[in-house]
Amino acid sequence: MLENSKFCISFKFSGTQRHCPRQRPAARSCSAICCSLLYKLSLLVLLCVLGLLLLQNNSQLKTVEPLPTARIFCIISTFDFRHNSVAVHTKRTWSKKCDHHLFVSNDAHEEVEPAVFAHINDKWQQMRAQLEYVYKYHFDEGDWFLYINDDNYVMVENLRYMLHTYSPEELIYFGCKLRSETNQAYMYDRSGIVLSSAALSQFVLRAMPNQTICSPDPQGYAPYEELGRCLSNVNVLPGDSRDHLGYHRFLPFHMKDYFIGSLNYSLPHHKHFLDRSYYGLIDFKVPISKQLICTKMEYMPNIYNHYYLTYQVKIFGTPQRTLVNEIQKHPN
Amino acid sequence: MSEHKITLEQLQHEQLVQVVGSTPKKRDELHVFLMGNQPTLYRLSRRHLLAFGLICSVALITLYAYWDVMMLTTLSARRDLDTSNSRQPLATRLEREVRVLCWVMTTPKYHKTRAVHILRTWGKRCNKIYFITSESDDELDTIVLTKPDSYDVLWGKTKEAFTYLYENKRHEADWFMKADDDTYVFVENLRHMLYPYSPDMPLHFGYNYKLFHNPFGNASYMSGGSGYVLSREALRLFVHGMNDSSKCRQEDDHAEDVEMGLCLYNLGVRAGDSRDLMLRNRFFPMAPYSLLMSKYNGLDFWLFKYAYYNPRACMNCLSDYPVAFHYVAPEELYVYDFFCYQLEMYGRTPVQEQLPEKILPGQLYIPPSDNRYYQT
Repeated sequence: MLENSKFCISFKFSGTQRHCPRQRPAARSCSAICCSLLYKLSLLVLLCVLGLLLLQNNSQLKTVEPLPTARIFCIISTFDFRHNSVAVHTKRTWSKKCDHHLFVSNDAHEEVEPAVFAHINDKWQQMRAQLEYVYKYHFDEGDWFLYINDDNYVMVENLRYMLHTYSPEELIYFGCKLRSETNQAYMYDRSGIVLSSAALSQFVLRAMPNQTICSPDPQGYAPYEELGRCLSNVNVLPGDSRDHLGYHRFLPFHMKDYFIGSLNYSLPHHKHFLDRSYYGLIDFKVPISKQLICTKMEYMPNIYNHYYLTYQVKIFGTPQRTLVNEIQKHPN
Repeated sequence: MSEHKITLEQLQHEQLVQVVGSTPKKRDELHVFLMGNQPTLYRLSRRHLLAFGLICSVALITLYAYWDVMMLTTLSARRDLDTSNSRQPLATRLEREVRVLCWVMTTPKYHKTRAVHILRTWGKRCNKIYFITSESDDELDTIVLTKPDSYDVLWGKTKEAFTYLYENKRHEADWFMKADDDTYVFVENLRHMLYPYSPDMPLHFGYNYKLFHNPFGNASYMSGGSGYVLSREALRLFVHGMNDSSKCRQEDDHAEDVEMGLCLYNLGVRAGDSRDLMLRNRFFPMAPYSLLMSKYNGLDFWLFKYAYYNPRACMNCLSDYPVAFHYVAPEELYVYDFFCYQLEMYGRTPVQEQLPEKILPGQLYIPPSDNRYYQT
């Protein structure tokens, strides 16, 4: 029994020498507590590593919710004599890219399907009626309202990109900015304007009923200057539509006028733009942004060329040039 | 004294009772006292050290593997967004493998108004570009011919240009493209179209027209306006055989593209099909809107009579990878360039592109004419 017991007791002072089985000398540096602690520590470390792995995997499975994109409602203004030559081409090409679109005209047409405002001869009074109509019937269909002519070519995605850093609750509007003789900022009619929904509601609810803020009289050839005056009277800011390099995104001419040489001062519509441009130009040259939004067509069949080149043509082996919105670039 | 003498057995029994009956701690103390040595409850042997070392190393290896996998996944995710930087784009590889020499027929009157703009837009993307005129220019790589600049001798000029290129420049490229000074060429898409074919096949590509002159029917010539491209073998056959009067017209007049088509047909150079997999046109001898608007041209339009393959007009009748268009004004060259190479659009989804399969010589199939508008 004694030999089998765990504790080998040898008696120093006994006569018989019972020799316990020789035991190895213990390691001097580790006590019992230290060893047990070390084991526990290593197990803890392992558990932590595993826990970290699991947690990391879980966080990767979560996806970032996409931002709500600004809805763009396009109001395309046309006339009955242009329905078959101009408006149908716009309808068949880029108008599909707007979230919703509405043609406004002075006569009906089976393909274009415009909202008809007949017997209004003045362009300013037509604009007032059209914007009021859109506010009444289509205000909930868009966050930003693009009022544009039927012979413009618009790249709606780039407009969405420009607007994604602004809120539709802001009182702001964009376009090709000009300055009138009375130093009033307004947007050039050849290139269209983009109103925020707050700006449109302020215009319709506050500016239009008030005759001193916004005149209901015919304005002849200067409806957009009057629009600029009305909007500034209700505190709507004329925004800067140029990109981060100061290049222009709304062009009142066809872009081919810009590439070789500069604008021609002897042409009347070039002269009007050069005289009144809000932003300075060097040597009559207008730098074109790579995030171009709007240009004006001279020969309407070319709109099919532009639509084909924008949305269908690819250059093999070269990645397509895309814009990434600010939030996707820096998720933190 | 003998009464106090305790037997050994009694002493042992006493001590045993003490040891067994006591707590383990006390046993330790007793053990220490009795043995005079430190107890070894847990034997921290080499085995324990080994086990501890094993657990630590396993933990370290797991951590390192995790870190490595994370680095690899983040790198590949970034690569998807940023495909142009880390790996070479396919276009660069094709530029080395499919070498194209472009030559543009022009005249000194249009050097500064048209030819210079071609060089600045698509001309610089060819492996080599030469301008065939009658005078040299400071900005352009010109090849000056002996024949005058006139439409009457256009066929003669073409023959002389190809002869010069064969004798002096044939080692610079595998494919030789002829274009006008109002043509826009998408050079990367041209290389993509030519990749499956070997330059040792006698082939030429362009927009196919029916060759009515040929008595055997089913022959085709390429429109000169939108340009045509010859393989190295086709160039060799053409240059060696063009002085044969039974095969090619020896005078310098008549329509250059028709005579070219007839000559190549007689010399055994086949007219390839330049359409894409969905049989949409890649070359077109007019602006894109002519084929995208269905009723732009009436049915009596000459294109419907002369086209070799079905000339249907619709919104989806042109290829996603077009090669050439004609009647492009100098300003419009920059417009094409702007839309293709400079415009940035929001929300484009990246497309995975792959090189097409190579076609072996025996596998080459060129479909016959199927223009249903006019049956001849």
